[in-house]
Amino acid sequence: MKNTTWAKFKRNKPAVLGMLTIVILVIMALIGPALTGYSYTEQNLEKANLGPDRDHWFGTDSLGRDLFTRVWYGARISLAVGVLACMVSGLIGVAYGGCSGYIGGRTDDVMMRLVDIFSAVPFILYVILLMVVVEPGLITVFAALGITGWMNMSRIVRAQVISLKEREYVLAAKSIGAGDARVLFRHIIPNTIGPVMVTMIFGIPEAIFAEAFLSFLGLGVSIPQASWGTLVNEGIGTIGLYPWQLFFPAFFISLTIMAFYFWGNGLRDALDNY
Amino acid sequence: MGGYILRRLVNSLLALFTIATLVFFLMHAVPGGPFASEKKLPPEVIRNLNARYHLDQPLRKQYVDYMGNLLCGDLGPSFKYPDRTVNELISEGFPVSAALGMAAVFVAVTAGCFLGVFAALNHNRWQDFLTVGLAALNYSIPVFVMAPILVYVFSIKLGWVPPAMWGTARHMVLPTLALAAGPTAFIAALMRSSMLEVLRQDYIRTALAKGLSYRAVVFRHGIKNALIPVIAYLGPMTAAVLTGSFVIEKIFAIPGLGEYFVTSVINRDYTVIMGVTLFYSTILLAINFMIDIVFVLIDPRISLTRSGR
Repeated sequence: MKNTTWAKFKRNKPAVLGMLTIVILVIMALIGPALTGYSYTEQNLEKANLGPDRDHWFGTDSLGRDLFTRVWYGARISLAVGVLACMVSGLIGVAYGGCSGYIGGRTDDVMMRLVDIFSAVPFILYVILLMVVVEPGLITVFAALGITGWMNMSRIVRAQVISLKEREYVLAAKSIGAGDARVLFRHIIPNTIGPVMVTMIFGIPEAIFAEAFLSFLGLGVSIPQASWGTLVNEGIGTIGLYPWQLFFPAFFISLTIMAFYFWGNGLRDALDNY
Repeated sequence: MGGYILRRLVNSLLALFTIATLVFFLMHAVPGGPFASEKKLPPEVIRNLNARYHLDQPLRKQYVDYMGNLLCGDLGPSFKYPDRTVNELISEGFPVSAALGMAAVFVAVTAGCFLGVFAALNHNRWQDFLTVGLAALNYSIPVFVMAPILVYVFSIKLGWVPPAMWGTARHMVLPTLALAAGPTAFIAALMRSSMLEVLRQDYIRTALAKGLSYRAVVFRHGIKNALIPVIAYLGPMTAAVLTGSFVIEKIFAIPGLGEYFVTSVINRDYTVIMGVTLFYSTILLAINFMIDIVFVLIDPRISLTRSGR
């Protein structure tokens, strides 16, 4: 079953390309800041606003910081926020949706009604509210994204659990005396892994996007840390004179979102009918 | 039908009530209170400020008062601009934002549907691939990247339209396009796949077999049915345009509600944040409510008993 999925996925060229792009971006995020010998905070006002050249591959910003280092340092923050926020919201969503679907009946009604109520407003509004109340910073960013982004996941897991809980193997597990928690978390939830993974992969760019949005509004990571959102925000101010300061971070945000999008699409198609 | 509408209405009001409560308690959980700032205020000043805004009263009384005022449509005073009320800020900023938002929705729906139908009718030809490619590209470019790119190309390099500010129709061009870009791409992709699906249906073949012209079949039978998923997307699109307007209004220095909201977030002006959030929620809930009703009216296949949301 696993092999046919993988074979199908491999035939989908854009999806494989998307996945490879993400792998390369992750590797660059890990080693990129170390390649130039500059640090992301190192200022050199004599070399401010330089264009891309041999010393500074992506040029420098208005404080003379090396943009190549800052873009890959930003990639670290943006990708880490995306993945971690997605894992937090994924865990909450799986647990919530799993319980809701497994218990069923009135409990399910009430739990899903709550999800409807919370998702009546775009989650970015909740994130903004949370970020206003707590101290801004890296950890609060992904905590805020994590605890607001689980609604979609919970709906998907609930639908899966409802269709799986009537299967024979669940009955078999129950008949040999497995408790509810064991049946749900050992037997049912592992079988929802496909849709869960697809939802996670679509969720990561959403979290990256949301973090960039927050940083753009000045609610994200605090200086001198930089995410792609902060870099784009800094780049907009000087767009008329030094367009590359916007171009590089903007290009990599868009590339990442597109790569995740193709990867997710390919995975969904591959998992669709086995 | 009546029961369905009533249930949807109760659901929306419940959502609004929950959001109001959540917002109230979140804003009162702020460490140090709303007047904590870098420069230390003397304690008696803080005490006076708290008394003036009734912050010295027990939390429960404040909550009941706030909810009572909400029922009368009163969102309270601004903490940072003592002579302004939140209602004034909204009535000043909202018309601008609404004009921008409606222009963007209009552009997105017309252009998106046109492109989608165009791509579907040229299925697997270069027009189709071009549209799909552009849609994927547009989809991946965040609104705060799209806006400066448009400014760079169309105002700085070409000088066709002003790069920022608000006032004439020319000022509206770039912010509208930037705001509409993402939703246009999404609608184009949605319309394309829905149109392809519809054109494969039996009733299309029947209509063609009856001798109707291809053009009549596409317009009378195809597009009408293919529009249904697009209507379902209008709710999420309103939300996207709304959050997008925060960024767009900031980039283009447009005096709309999004700009006020962002400023109030940066200034930590709590009553304005609460008020504007609630106002946005009300608008979104109202629009979603209307879309749900329209949806049921146009598509008889949707059963009323099953739709919880």
